[in-house]
Amino acid sequence: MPGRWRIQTIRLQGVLVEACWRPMEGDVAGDFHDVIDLRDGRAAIVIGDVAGYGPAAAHRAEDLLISLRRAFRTTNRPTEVLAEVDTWVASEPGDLFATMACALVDPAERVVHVASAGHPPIAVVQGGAAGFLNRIADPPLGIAAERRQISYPLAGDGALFLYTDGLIERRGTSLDENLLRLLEIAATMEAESGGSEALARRASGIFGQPADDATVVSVRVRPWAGLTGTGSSGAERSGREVRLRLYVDPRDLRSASTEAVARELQRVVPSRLQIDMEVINITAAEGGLETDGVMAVPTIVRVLPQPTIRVVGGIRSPTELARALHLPLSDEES
Amino acid sequence: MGARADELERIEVGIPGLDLITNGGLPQHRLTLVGGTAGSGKTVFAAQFLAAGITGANEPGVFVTMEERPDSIRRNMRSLGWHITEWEDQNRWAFVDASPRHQVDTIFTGNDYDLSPLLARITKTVERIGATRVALDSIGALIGQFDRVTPTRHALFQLADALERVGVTTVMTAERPDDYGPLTTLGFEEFIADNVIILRNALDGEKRRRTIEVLKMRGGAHRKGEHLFTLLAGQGIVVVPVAIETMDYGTATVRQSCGVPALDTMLHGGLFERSLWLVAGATGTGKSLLAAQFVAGGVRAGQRCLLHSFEESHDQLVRNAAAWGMDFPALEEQGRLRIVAEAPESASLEDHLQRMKTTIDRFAPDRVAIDSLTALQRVATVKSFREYVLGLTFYIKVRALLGMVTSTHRDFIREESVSDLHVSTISDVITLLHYVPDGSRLARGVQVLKMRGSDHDKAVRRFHITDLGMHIEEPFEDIGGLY
Repeated sequence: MPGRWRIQTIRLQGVLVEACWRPMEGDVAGDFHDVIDLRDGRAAIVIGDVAGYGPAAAHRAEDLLISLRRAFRTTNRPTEVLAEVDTWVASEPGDLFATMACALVDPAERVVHVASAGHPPIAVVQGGAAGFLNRIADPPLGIAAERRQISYPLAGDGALFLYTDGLIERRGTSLDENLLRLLEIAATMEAESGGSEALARRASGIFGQPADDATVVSVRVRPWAGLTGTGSSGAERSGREVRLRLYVDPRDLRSASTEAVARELQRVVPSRLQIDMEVINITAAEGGLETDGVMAVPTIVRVLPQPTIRVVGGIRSPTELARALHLPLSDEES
Repeated sequence: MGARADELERIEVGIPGLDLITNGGLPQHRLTLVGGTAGSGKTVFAAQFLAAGITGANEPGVFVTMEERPDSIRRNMRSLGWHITEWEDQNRWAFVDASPRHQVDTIFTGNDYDLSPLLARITKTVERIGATRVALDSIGALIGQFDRVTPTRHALFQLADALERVGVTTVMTAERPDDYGPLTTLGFEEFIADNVIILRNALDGEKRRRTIEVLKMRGGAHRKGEHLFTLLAGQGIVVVPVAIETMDYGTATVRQSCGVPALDTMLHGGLFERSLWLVAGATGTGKSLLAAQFVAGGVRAGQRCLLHSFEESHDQLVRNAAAWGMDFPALEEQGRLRIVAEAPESASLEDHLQRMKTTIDRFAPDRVAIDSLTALQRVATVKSFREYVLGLTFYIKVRALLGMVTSTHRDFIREESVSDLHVSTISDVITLLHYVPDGSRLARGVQVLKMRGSDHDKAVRRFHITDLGMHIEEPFEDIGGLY
């Protein structure tokens, strides 16, 4: 009995990762994925597939994840990570057939580095077009081989889709054709900011439900990535005016406390920054709710400088707010 | 005041067949949850609920999209014949865009937020266009946008409550992990609604089977079990109620001649008006003849008749009919008969269906014969053929015509394939034409297998094909086998 589709959203400083997977049998799968926060804005995203499904495959996948995490202690380079895992696979008794792909996303530099061990190609979607980063696969894990590392520029609106063959492989259909279909679907994702779930949904709509474990992981760069630190802050680059819109509901206590905190913001940022904040009562507002697509209170939208950043949820201190909005702190505060 | 009486008020949804299986439509001013797996048709259901309100009852509607962008919905629904942009211009349709367009640029500081702005946006839009219907698609997508389930869950209860107070009738969709199993992915959505409908798109052998089931419905009995539905271009969801016989048949008492008097006797007086007659039998048993006699019988009774033949050419039909004294060209001239004869291969199945519907609409016949479904099957995949058959037979039913379809497939009447094609379920009368071993040769036999709402002659009777048509005689005394 196949399990259900599961969804996991991982919000890191520089990237938004959404994983969506469905075990072929019960709760566990031979498919696996991992997201490693390198704590400098960069993130490594790994996806893999152990042949077979069910508990036995899941057990091997667990082992691979452990050896993977171990590899990341010594290197961040995708090819080196795969080589480390190779060494472990080779030392394991018994046959283990597995594929794996690793993507190192650097949002500040707007670049992605990928390497693959026999895994289906990673799709990239940006500027309205979709393509594969690594159409030609290098050998699967366990076969010690030199693997290529491919680096590709990643635009602000770009998205990566990593997936396992369970998503596209169906008996009696051509894998190549399905890969092309997948690209077509992926190309429509961008405009709608669709993530892994949307892709999995459309793919199963077209190919039918998977006959194997299936996983999709989507990666998007967050617009403010690269604005960290006082020196390179977007606020400083693009001028002195900081325009904010705060959406509140007078019936909501967190709205009131967040508004009080937000009014203190000017005190903690450098004096050259002019904070201009408009407070909008959602019970009385007419148009703004739709324009900003506000769904929750309290919400603070940084309208200027661009890019737009929105902060949802209660805020306890002005410095916390400045950090969330990627604004520099004054010398005394920092 | 009217709360109690209110509960029993229903509004007709406008989805063909749904009002029948819900026993009168959805409870007014209430929320109905529509659960289904990916690709089961939830978004179409939600959009059709609004579209039907606009076109059928002039009731404006608000579509709250939590997943697809409004643009993609406008585009997708155009193929179903709904021009949402026009309706938006007329303030009869409005979107609340709650799709995850801001996912990437949003930071969550914790789980202490409240979804009241979404609520405010919905209620304001409802007020602005005076909406009486609201569709929300889908809950799972909304929850996916936020970090935590708790505030979203709280918001959903708030939302359901607020919408009921505003007095709109709401359809809310929710994801299901599988076609059979837990009702919804999160497991709590069902507590929001007293009314639950399930859409399925389950794999059945090699084919997908779309079904709809009313799980619970406040204020009255509904039809239990899964009912087949199909998605038709220009129409959207069309439910084929398994118990379709209830469509007026309880009241149909007027009988009409099937075209062969002796067969009318076997039917204990002829076919009920507005019924569908399936004639099945092997090649050469006389189906095409029966179809021609069926339309001729209608013409004799003063009706307008349409014969759609995929088996014989126009000339051939005219010649055959002349032999038993019917002047088809003259009748066509007088507008009492229309014969459309074409090769199945001349068009795609969809085009055939569309043309046939157009002919029915323009010519407005009282009875329609289609000879044969089997010929059309040659040009179709199993899936599209099934949808075609459903669409066509259902159309005949909805137009309250007396219909006749022929088939060489005896499969149609076997139990396992009934679920497949449902022709026999939809048919009110089934007649089989057989080859019967009779000494050293084969004779022809006719048998009424089923006659809804009436008793009938159950014998297999011998018949001959003569220059004057079908000639039915006494029952076979001893049947060694039927072919």
